[in-house]
Amino acid sequence: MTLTVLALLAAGFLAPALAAPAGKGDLAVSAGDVTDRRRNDNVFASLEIELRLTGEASAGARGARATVEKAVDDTGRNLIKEKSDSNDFAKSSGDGPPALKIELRNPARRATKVRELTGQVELFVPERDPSARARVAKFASQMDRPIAAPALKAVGAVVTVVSRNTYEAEKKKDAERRKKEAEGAGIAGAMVNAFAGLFEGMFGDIGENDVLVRVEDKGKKVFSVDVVDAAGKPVEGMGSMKVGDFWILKFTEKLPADAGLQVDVMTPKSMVTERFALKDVALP
Amino acid sequence: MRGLSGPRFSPVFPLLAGLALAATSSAQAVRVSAGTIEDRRTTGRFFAGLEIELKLTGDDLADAKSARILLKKAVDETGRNLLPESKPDGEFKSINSSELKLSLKNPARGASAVKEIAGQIELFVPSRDPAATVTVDRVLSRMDKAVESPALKSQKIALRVVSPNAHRAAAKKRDAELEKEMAKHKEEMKKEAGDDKTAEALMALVKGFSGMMNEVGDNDLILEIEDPEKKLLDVSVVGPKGDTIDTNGSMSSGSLRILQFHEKLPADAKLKLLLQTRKSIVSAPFSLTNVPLP
Repeated sequence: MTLTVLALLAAGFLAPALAAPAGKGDLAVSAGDVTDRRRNDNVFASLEIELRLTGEASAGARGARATVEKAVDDTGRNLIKEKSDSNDFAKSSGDGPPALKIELRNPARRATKVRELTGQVELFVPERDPSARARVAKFASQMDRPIAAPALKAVGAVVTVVSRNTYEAEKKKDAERRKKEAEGAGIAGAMVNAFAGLFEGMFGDIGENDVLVRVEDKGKKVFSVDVVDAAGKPVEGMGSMKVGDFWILKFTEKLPADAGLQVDVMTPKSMVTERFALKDVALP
Repeated sequence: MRGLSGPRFSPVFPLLAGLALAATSSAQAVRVSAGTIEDRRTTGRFFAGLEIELKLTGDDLADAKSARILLKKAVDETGRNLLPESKPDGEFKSINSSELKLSLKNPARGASAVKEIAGQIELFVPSRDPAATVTVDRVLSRMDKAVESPALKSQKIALRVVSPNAHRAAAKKRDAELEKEMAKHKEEMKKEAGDDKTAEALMALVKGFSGMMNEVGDNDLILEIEDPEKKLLDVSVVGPKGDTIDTNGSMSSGSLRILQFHEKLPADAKLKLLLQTRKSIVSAPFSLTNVPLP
């Protein structure tokens, strides 16, 4: 018996499961809707392929992202974009898996299919690891103090709910720093600074019910920050926005005094990684 | 791509040109070319189609206020008919905007060009017909009364100027009716939407849209216009000397049109209406050939 187990280990049968405990066989990837947006000015022109996620892992997934390694149409044209946009996680909006789409270059007009599309899908499934979620009760009483939670410590992230005064002071400091940098960079710097200021003016305004959270997360492990009620149920808000290290959680109504904060972090056990290889995806 | 010639000299559309002459003036110097082309192809259910922006150039455009395209033929190089199933709205659009575009069916994937697009272009040139411009003097003195105008009547247009107070009172009534109606269909909507939250969001959206037309400023000019034949192409407010008084924006929904103003309009402000008449339309056939597809 022991010998059999050792033999299996040696053959590598158990090894993949150990390396990616939530991986293999949990997730299937197939092509969904395909949209080929072709323009003669190339503005917003792209081929978008929806990746449908099925399988056990997809059910509890709160986020997903895909990395494409190879994409060629049946004329042999390489469809991978030279400059890819930021590869952020697509977030699930309800109970279903996240709507995952990949963006490629337009195939040739005479192409009839994408001959090969290969890559990797990563899913964030927090329920697979209890230490992927940190909860803090009554966050209002812990303003301007980093949240002490093992989950955050483990991924090297510091999350702090900040007061308006701290936010304004930090904003001012940041503006001064950018001004100095811009002065050193001449006209181009001044332009960049002006635009940054414009955007900040548009999006950096905070409402009286908004929650300000500073997320210091060099490893990009923090997936989400949500306000929850005393029972742990998320409080629906008006979305969130990021200004530098600050996350602004927007709310139209005053939050209950006992509202808590829930921070999901991407730990190795909460991630499901699966390779995919799609062949002959028909083009519209 | 081909420039437009006068219908009398057009070798392509002799019959069409003759018809056009009988009904309208002819455009002597308008050229049509293709601008931005977008071929949106999808396996999904929505928003597939070929859009071709049309660029107009030529002397006849100088006095033209708007234009429309009446499409007769559109085929790709494989012979596929690209004319849409449903008839386009045929509304006049501003010439210098990207609104002037053709919405066609997707060409064949393998087609590299649209072989031919042909039709009629109509320019609205109100200066060609005095009857195309109707002015209503001292429009503010006509609040809550129907505007009597033989010129409008002849085009089957009924116009009423509504005071902000009368509009607000009517809006309140409409709101109450909408509330009642939504309450009546609440359960139905929940069933349709799948859950209470989505149903409530949808109802809030309907209320929001309806509310947009309900809120008016004291300086706004509110018009109720019945125009079954869609002859009215433009409405503006002008001063006593005919100079346009700029609006802060406008909205319209159904028969209601609201022109917004920051400041109170002068007592002698006039309403200027531009109507589509036979003589104010300049028409000519056009044809584009071998338009490359992206």
